Amino acid sequence: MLKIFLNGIFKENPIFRLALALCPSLAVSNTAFNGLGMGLCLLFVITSSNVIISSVRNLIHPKIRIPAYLTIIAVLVTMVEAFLHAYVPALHKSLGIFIALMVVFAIVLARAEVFASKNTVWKSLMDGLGMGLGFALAMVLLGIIRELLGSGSVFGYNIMGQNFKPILIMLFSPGAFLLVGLLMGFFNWYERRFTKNL
Amino acid sequence: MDKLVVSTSAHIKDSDSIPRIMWGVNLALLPVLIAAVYFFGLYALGVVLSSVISAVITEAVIQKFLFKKPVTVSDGSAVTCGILLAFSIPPSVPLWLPAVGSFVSIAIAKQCFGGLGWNVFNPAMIGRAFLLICWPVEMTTWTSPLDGVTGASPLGILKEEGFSKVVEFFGNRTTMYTDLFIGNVRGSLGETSCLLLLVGACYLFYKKYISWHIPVSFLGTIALLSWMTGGDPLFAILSGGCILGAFFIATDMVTSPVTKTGQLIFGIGVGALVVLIRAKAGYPEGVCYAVLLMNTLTPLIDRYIKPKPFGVVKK
Amino acid sequence: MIKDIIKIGINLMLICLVGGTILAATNFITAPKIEEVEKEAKLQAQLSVLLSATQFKEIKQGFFKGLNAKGETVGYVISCLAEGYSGAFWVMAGVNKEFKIVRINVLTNKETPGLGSKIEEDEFRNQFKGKCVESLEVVKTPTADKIQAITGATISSKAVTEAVKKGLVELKRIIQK
Repeated sequence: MLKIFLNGIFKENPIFRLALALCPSLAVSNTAFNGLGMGLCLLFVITSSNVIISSVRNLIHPKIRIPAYLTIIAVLVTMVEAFLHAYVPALHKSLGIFIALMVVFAIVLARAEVFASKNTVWKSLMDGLGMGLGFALAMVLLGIIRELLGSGSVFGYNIMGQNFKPILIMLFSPGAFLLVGLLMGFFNWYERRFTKNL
Repeated sequence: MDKLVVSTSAHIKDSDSIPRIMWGVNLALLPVLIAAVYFFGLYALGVVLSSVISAVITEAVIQKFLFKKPVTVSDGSAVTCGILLAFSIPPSVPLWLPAVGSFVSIAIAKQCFGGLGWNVFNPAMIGRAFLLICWPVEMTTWTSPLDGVTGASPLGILKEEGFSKVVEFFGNRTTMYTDLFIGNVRGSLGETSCLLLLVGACYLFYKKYISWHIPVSFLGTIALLSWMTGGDPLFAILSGGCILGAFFIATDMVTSPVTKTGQLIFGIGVGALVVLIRAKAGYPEGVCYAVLLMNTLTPLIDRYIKPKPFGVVKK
Repeated sequence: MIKDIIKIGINLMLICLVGGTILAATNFITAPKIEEVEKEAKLQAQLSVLLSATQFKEIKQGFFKGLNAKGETVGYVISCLAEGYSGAFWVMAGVNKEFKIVRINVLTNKETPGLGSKIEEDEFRNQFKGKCVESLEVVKTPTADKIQAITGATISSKAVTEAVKKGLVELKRIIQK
């Protein structure tokens, strides 16, 4: 169980390892707050979709499993959007269209198809939590670095001081793209070094 | 992981000649450096040195500590990259700016792709594009030569107020052409003096380090298209970074096509993009982005225009 | 074969039915709250540019009359669409009864961070204070009676100024008709 949970955080991290869900990682990781918000939304959606799909996996006809999964995911995402709009309007405004776009994030459908449709509810819950948390952590990491370099602050608190000239590219998608690539390279390098020593 | 890889980008067949060519290019850029120091003061030398030193150190550190490969900074390619980057940024920037730009050029645009011969994009232009996006205010503050007053560059005036204002700015057409040719205008460090750039270019032609295909098709396209769209062809060629770009940047061996026909297509493409960006985009100057965009097409051009193998019969 | 299709159809229909029911319930819970939030946000945006008013009445789409507690007209609020460097965005302007600008506010700013986004900062916005239609013009040199463009963001500066100017002209036309 623990292994399935940790799998999503490190070994198969959605962004840095599977390279899935890159769209939100480029678009809404511009501040640490946005990254955290997006991460938590996806954590909820992927965990619930994994649990629901694995519990009804024997009721769904195999020929229509993709439309069925998408319907379930879409319902969950629409719920998240409505509740955010009503109770956390600030986050709803800054994430914008990307909340609705969670429906088509590859990682959610991928876990439904690859994992939840073949495993028990408990295992799917663990997988969903692990994947969601792995995504959230990656998003927060990207958000912290981008906000620090792009506007000199973290979670809105100014850190770099007044004389710091922000590296504006970090606020745009190209900067995020560079950063994701460099971090991916770093993790690959780290793992290779780590396994060599074993 | 050591495999023999055949690639379209590895054009260099005689490895002994890399340092010679690179140092030759550096030598050809020397007169322009002198012009830059004459027009913009000793500070210009500081900008160039900061860029070059940062480029060399970045390359050496990455090769020695990260990839644990032999250090090849003595081949002069890092120096060339540093000089070209410094030549394409305004003379009044703070000294840390070219250093950061060179770091990005070498670390991201060159070493991340595997070092000399493997980079898809011109490293110096990647560095410049990075700087322009990150610090747009510093990167578009132009000081005029000799007296150091800030204001708009000729292309900026053209974009904002039209061609008649440009002529008015210089006095009359003749002084406009001579000032642009000699380099007595606001602009990047090494792009203003067309005269000395051409002196350097002549040396490269004499040594056969570059061929005529890219510069001629590049400048020809710009002249033709700006004449067709009602502009002044001579002004279009002499202003901005056209001359520097045509002879020193677009002709980079690694990122331009191998064949002569391919080079002609490449030059025409860059020229057309420059005119398009100058006329329609938000920026007044477009040589940097035009070169980078055509760099992406270089592998494609090379694939479709292959050198004909000897003895193949046309079908 | 036909049986199969019907079976699959019913299967998918059931899933959609359950999903639809859940969504209907969600909407039932959140819809009133969302409306409230939107209304509050609108009021806050209007108040931010016309502090002396307590309530607002729509005269025409995008144009509001600001009333104080006694029901007297204290000014107007215009929401104007500006065509910026990276697409259109909304600017809200508060105007007093003499058609001079009280305050402006940039609502959905998508302009280049660090450059065009500076239209949101007080340094730029405060220039609009007390300006009438004639002074709404962007210039590049420091000025007292015109609007000075932000360095490196002339397009965004012009977009805001033009939008406010257009709205103000239109407001005058509506009121004085």
